[in-house]
Amino acid sequence: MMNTVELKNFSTWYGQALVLQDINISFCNHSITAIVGPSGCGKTTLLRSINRTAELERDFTCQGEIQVFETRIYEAKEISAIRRRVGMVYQIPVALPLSIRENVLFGPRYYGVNKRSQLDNIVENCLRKVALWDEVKHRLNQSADKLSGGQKQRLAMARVLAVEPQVLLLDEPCSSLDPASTRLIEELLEELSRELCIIIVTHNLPQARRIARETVFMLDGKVVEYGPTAALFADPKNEKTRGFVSGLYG
Amino acid sequence: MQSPLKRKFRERFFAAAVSTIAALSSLLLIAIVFFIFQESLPVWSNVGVLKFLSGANWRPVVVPPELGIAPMLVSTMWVALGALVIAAPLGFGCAIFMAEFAPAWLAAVIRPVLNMLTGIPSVVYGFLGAAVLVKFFEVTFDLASGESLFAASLVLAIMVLPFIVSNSEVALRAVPDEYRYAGLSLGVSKPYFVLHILVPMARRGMLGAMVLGFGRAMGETMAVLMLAGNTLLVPTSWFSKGEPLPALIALELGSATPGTPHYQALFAAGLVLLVLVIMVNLLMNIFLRRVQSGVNKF
Amino acid sequence: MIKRNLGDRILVSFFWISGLFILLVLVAILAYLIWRGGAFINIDFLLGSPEGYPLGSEGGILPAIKGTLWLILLALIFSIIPGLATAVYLSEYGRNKRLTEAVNVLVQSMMGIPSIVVGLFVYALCVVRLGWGISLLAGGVALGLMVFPVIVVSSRNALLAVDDNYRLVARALGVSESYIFWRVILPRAVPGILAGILLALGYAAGATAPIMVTATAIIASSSGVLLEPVMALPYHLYILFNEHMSLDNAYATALVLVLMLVFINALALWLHSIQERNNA
Repeated sequence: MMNTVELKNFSTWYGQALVLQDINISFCNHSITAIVGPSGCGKTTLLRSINRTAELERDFTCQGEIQVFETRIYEAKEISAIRRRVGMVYQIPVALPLSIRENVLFGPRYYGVNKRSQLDNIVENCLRKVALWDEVKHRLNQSADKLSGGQKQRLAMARVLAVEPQVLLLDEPCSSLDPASTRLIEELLEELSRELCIIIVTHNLPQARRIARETVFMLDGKVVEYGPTAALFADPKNEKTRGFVSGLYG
Repeated sequence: MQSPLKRKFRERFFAAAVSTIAALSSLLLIAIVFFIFQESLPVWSNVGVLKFLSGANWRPVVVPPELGIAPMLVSTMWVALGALVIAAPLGFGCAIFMAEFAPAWLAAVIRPVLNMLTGIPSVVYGFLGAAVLVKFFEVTFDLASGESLFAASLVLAIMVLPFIVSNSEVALRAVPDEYRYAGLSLGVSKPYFVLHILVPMARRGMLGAMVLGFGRAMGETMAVLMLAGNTLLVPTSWFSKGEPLPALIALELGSATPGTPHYQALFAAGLVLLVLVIMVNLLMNIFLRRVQSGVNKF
Repeated sequence: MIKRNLGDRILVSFFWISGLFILLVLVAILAYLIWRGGAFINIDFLLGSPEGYPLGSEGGILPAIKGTLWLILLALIFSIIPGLATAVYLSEYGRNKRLTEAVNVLVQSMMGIPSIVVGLFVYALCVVRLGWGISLLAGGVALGLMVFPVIVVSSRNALLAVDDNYRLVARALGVSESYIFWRVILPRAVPGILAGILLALGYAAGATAPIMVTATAIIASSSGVLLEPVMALPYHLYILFNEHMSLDNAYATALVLVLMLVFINALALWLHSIQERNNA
């Protein structure tokens, strides 16, 4: 299996506070990896570091190296090119203040796609991939604000897919959604994992067990344990992991 | 230890006093409007609203007096709109700079500087404009006198700039961070994101800031008094001279005998100015209210 | 893509330029005033009376400084108590939502009244109807009216900024609302309220339009007699320049006025930052 995202001795700080400490880990292509751990363990920062949006926060500094398909992303000059290759979906569903269609086309238009047929194709393809097409195809030009939370989250995924990323990061994408929408998104992720490297941060341990091939357990800015999901849950090697998966803290 | 009864009485008294003073104070505005209206009443009944607003001649002391404030009204609008045309792009640029691009320390330097700029009295702006800017126009373009609506607009623009900047910055910062992350993680450049997402989301607040600046510019006295040139003709271009309403009032109030049509007409002019500014303020309130319930609605 | 990069660069440069422009304006104003007026400021100028012909073309500005101080004092006397009471009403007693909203809108609109209109009102009421004539007292009333909404809004904001948890915690102890207000809320809001008063003070010190129609004379002794006209710094500056008396003295007067106001504003900002730290 090819390693697509690789962190080497990676540490980050917000001001003086050490958030991630010496992370060494590689994520596999064409699979879903879940990152679990208690609140404040640094899993979101880890995720955001991989598409270089962590540095949008004040006083962010980092050390070490992250490679995405052999590119050292913190040495790259074009930050936006990195962000394009590593898409990210956030916890709170965000519809940009545009129509549904323009939400999907926000990235492609920036990259200079302007042929009508091409644009139409992108919209339909991406919305189909996230199973939103049938729900919205007759109102593509309406404002995206009117969509429900679950729909907005799928729209966010479609928006990311439209710029053809190689890696898809998701930060607790289902935490504000109802069970039906959650189920739908999980199915989509399994579908998408055939083409992409997917890394998902989740609070929901059953969700990790359901969809992730591998799971990472983090605590206090460090990776405690990393392995196949089934093994990690059934037979944790580390005492702390055992405590966490059995619900002692979190 | 006080007796509970005494304490209760004292508390009741305090509450009543505070409420009464608040009620009386808030009636001040109404009192001002009413009083000025009353002083100007003969003008409205003798001359009529339309004729007063559209009359092109201001000869208040001839018999019978000619009372038309069209030249001043046009000057007021021209000067204020001109100031806005200059100040709005710069102000929005600076607000975007401070909210999105400036290093934290630089934004922390600019913010108090904006406060200092609003603290400098208008007479100083007017003086510097007249002593430096007008001189510069006279020398450069070989004019007999460099005063013009344009000079007044230029100085007013500097004066309203801090208001536009700080209010626009508030509107830009009110956009939740989620939109920044969602937009930027699609790999678009920051300026692209600012122009296509951030500014449209903050546009109501930014418009509100502009309207506030407009109101300020319309009511400003000293700068226009010292810079606009003070002629009673209807201005024909940005580079004509003119006499906006506040300058008219400041110049003529002292020499108008109370009870004469001249005196009453100055109050009518004041009422017109007041109504204009209050209308602008109400408009801004509507804008800002929409912002409060708008941005976080999504 | 290349075109886009170029466009981005131009935009970002524009943002930087407009940001730095603001700094440049303040620096330019201060530097120019110091260059043109700095040399003329000395003890004789600050503590001397206008001299020469026409009177004011030489000599000092002491009566103008005194007059401005008197005007500020009166303005604060007239505005602080009603301003604070209204602010307390809005932040603590405003249970009637509609009424509070109405008072808020009225005060907000008052803030927008052009200062010359305030002058016009006070001229008709105090100078003409009440027969005070052009006088210190009328000028004080005009400036008081002008800064009243400033005091209301800044004090209200300072009071509302105090953490609601204090109210909650104190209420749980069974003490009355006004006890909480005096013991907990008001002390935490004092720096913010003082900052607002300073801001109002600076605003009053620099205002020209309302006092030029109600209070000022070209030459006066400004000894504090309520029903006599006074001199004032901003009006004195206007006269020095407009009547072509002395450009040098005008620059010096402008510098004194600006330094005074920059100092007052800096003090207000400092108090404001204390307030924010208190309630962070």
